Amino acid sequence: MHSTPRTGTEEPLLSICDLRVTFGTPEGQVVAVDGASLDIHPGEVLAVVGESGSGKSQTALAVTGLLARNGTSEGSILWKGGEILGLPEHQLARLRSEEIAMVFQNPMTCLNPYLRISTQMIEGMTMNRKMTRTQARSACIDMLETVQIADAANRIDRYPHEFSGGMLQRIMIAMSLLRRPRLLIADEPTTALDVTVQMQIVQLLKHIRRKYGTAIMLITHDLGLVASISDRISIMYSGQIMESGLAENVFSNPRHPYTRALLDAIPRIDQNDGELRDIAGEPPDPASRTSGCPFHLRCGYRIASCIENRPDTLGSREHAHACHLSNET
Amino acid sequence: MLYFILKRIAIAIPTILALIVLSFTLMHYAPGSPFTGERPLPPEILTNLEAKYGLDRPFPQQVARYVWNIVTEFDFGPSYSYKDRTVNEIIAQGFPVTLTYGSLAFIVSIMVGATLGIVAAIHRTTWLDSLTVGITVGAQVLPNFIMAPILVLVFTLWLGWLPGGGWQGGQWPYLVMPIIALSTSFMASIARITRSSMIETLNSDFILTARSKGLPFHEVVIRHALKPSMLPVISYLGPTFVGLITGSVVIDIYFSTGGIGQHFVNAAINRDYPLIMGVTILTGILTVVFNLIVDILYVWIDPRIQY
Amino acid sequence: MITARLQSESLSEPGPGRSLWQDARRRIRQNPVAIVSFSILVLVGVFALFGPIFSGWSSEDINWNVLGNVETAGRPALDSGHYFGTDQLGRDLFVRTAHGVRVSLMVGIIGALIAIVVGTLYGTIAGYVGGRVDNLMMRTVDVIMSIPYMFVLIILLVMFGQSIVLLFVGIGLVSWLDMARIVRGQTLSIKNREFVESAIVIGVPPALIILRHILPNLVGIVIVYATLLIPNMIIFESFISFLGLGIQEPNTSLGVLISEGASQMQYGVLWQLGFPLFFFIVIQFGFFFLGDGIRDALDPKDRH
Ligand SMILES: Nc1ncnc2c1ncn2[C@@H]1O[C@H](COP(=O)(O)OP(=O)(O)OP(=O)(O)O)[C@@H](O)[C@H]1O
Ligand SMILES: [Mg+2]
Repeated sequence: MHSTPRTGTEEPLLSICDLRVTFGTPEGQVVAVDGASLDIHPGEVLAVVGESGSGKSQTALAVTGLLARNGTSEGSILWKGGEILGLPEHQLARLRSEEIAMVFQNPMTCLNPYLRISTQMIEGMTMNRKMTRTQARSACIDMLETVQIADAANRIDRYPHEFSGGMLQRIMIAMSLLRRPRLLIADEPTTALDVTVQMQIVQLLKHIRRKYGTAIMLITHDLGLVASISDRISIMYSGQIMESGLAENVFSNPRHPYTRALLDAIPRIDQNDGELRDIAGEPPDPASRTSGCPFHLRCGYRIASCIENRPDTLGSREHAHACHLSNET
Repeated sequence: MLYFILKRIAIAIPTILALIVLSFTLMHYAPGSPFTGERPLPPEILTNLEAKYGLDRPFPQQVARYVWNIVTEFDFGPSYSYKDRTVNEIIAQGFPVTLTYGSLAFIVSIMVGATLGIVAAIHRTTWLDSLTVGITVGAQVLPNFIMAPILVLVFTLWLGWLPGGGWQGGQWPYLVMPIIALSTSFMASIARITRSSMIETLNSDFILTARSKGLPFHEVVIRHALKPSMLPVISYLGPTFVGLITGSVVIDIYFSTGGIGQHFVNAAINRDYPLIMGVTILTGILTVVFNLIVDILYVWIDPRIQY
Repeated sequence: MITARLQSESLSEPGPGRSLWQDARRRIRQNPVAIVSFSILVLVGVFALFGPIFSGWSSEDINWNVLGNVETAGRPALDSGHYFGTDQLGRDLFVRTAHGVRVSLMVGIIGALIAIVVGTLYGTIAGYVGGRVDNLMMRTVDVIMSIPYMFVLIILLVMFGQSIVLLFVGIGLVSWLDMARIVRGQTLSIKNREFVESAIVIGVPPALIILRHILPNLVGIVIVYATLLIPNMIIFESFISFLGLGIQEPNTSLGVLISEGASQMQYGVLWQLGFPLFFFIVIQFGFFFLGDGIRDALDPKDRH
C-alpha cells in the first residue's frame, strides 16, 4: 500500500538539523523546539506526532519563516540542500508561494470570513504565474473538484461561513495545492473536525500524494490516525525528537517508553476495558527546561542518567531513538 | 440586502417623526414659549405664527400642521429673533458653511486616524508605534474647544500665518484651523481604534494562511487585514458624526464662521423656538440618515451578518 | 507509567472573587504609570479642596488695585499673593482655579455616578430578562443614541434655566447609554455561567441572583468604565460652559475659566488660559492612564 520505502540514499527535500525555536516573553524565554532534527524525501509522508505544546507547530512555522514576532530559530533548515533559515522575507515568501504549502488546524478561522472563496483561491495565482483570472478560476474549480467539493463552479463564489468544517478543510487543501508545492505541511488538519470527517481528510491526503507526488509533513497528536498514511514517523516530546523511523518499525517495535505510552493511549475497540488510557502527569513547561531526558519526570523506567544527561539519538533513518535505557541494552 | 435596507428605512422614518413631534411638544410646553404667550412678541411675528400653526386650534392639530409643513415642504416656519427671515433661509445660509468644514474634518479624521493606526499596528513595538500612540493619547485629551484657542494662539497671535476667524466663502486659510480643531480628538480616537483592531486582525489565523500562500506582507495587509480591521472604525463613525455636529457649535462660535452652530446658540439664548427646532430636527434627520448609511455599509462589508 | 485519567483537572482552576482582586491590586501597584497618575489626581484633589486656605483672597474678591491694569499688576507673582495671577476682573486666579477644578471634578464624578446607576440598572435588567424585552430596551438605546444629545441638553438648559442640577441630570442622563450597552453584554455572558444557571435552577429569585451573582461580577468593568467616564463628563461640562450655557457666575468651572482665558489671550494675559488649561489636561491624562492601569490590572491578557 505504501509507496516504495525510501532508503535515504537520495537527497532529502527538507532537512531540519538541530533546530531550536525560542520565544522572548515578558516572563522569560520559552524554548518551544529544543534541538529537533528530521528530514523528508520527495513524495514521502512524514507524520510528526506529539502532545499539545510539544513544539510541532513551531517547527513547521520555523521552516516557512512564519514564526511570531517574538520568536527566533537557530540550527539549520535545508531545502533541497540549500540553507533557508535566516533567508530574507521576500525569498521566504517566494518559497511559500512556490514550493512549501501549509494547511492549518482550524479551517473555520483560517479562511478570511470577509472574502469569497474564489477571491482567496485565485489571489497568488494570478500574481506569480502569469495566468489570467479566468484561467486561474477554472484551475481553482478543477482543484475543488479534485478535493470532492460538489458543484464547485457555483460554490466557489460563496463565503467561508456557508461551508461546514470538513468542506472548509478540503478547500484549504485545494488552495494549498493550487501552486503545485513539492511539500505540503498539514498542521493537525483533522483535529478540529468530526471523527467521521477526519478519516475522509486522511483519505484525501493519500489521494493527493498519489496524484501529485507531493511530499507531506503531517502533524498530529493522534498516532492512530496516521497509521495508514505515513511512510515514516517522528515522535516529538518537549521540543525534541524521541523516536523516529519507518512507520512499520515504530508501530511494531517502539523503543522509547514515550512512544509505547502513546501507542497504549490509542483507544482500541478490541481491548476496551472501559477505561480511557492516558499518560500520567503533564508535559514539562517550555518556559523552564530541565536537564536530562525531558520525559524522565513521567517515565516509569527512569534511571539515574535520565535525570542528568540528555540521551543521544542513536540508530538509522529506518529507526532511531533517544533513550538511555534502550541505548544501554 | 434590499429587504434589509427597506427594513432599516422603515425604522428610520418613525424615529424622525417621533423626533419632530417630541421637539414640538417640548417647545409647546416650555416656559416662556411664544405659543403660550408669556413674552410679548412683535405683532408681525404673531400673525405669521398664527397663520402657520393655527395657534388658536387644539394642540394635536398644531403638531399635525407642523409635521405636515416639514414633511411636505420642508418648511420650519418663521424665525422670531431674526424678524423678517424664515428658519429655512437661515439654515440655507448657515448650513453649507458647517457642511463644508464639517465634512472635510470628517474625512481628515478618518484618513489621518486610520493611516496612523495602521502604520502603528504594522510597526508594532518599534519607535514608530510608540510615537503614534503618544500622539494619539495626547490628541485625545484635546477636544475642539481646547484646540481652537491653542491653534489661534500659535498660528494667529504668535506666527501670524492664519486668520483667527471669519469665513470669506470658505477660502483655505479660513478652513485650516476649524478643520484641525474639530478633527483632532476624533482623529486620535479613530487611530486608537484602528490600531488595536488591526493588531487583533493581524493575529488571526487567516492572516497566517494568507502569509503561508507567499503573499508579500503589504498585500496581506491590504487584501486581508484592512476590511476586518475597519469594521470597528465604521461602527465608530456614527458617534463621530454626532460629535462633529456638536463640535461645530464651538467652531462656528469661536471662529465666527457664520455656520449653523452659531445660529443655534443664538437661537437658544434668544429663545427663538422655531429656529432651535429647525436646527435640532435637521441634525436629527441627518444623524438618522447617516446611521442608516453606516448600518448598510457594515452589512455590505461583513457577509456573515444575517439580515 | 500509565494510569487511569485523574479527574482533578477541573478543581485546579482558581476561583474568581478574592484572588482576582488581590491579583489586580498587586498588578496595579507594580504599574508605575497608574500609581503616578493616581498620586497626581490626589494632589489635584487636595489643591481643589484646600488650595484656597493658602490664599488671602476668595473667589469673588476683586482686587481693585489690579483692575484696569491686569496685564502688569495682575501677573502671577508670589509677593502680590496672586500665585496664578488674576482674571480680567481682578479676581484671584489661584482660588478661582481651585474652585473651578472642584466644580469640574464634582460634575464629573456625580455625572459618572448617575450614568453608572442608570446604565447598570438598565443594562442588567435588559441582559437578565433577555428576549423581546431586551430587544426593545436596546433598540430604544439605539434610537436615543442617534439623537444629537448636546442639542437636547442645550435646549433643556435654555428652557428650564441654567442650573447645576439640570446640568448634572442632563449630563448623567445622556451618558448612561454606553454604560447600559456594556453592562448588558457583560450580564449576558455572566448569566450563562454555571453558577448563575445553577442558582436559577434551584429557584433563587431573580432580584437576589442579580444582587448576589451578577452585580458583584460587574464591579470590575464598571470601575474601568467609570474612570473613563469622569474625564468625559468633565469635557462635556467644559464644552457647555465654554458656550456660556453651563456653570454660571459666581460659580466657575474649568470650562468657564478656559473660555474666559481664551477670550483674553490676545491681551498678553496668557496665564488666564494657561493655568486652567494645565489643570484640565492634567486631569484628563490622570484619569486616562489610571483607567488604563486598572483595565490592565483586571484583564492582563489584553496586553503585550
Ligand atoms: N509567540 C509565542 N510566544 C511564546 N511562546 C510561544 C509562542 N508561540 C508558541 N509558544 C509556545 O511554544 C510551545 C510549543 O507550541 P506549539 O504550537 O509548537 O505546540 P504544538 O505541538 O503545535 O501543540 P498543539 O498540539 O497544541 O498545536 C507552546 O508551549 C507554546 O506555549
Ligand atoms: Mg500546533
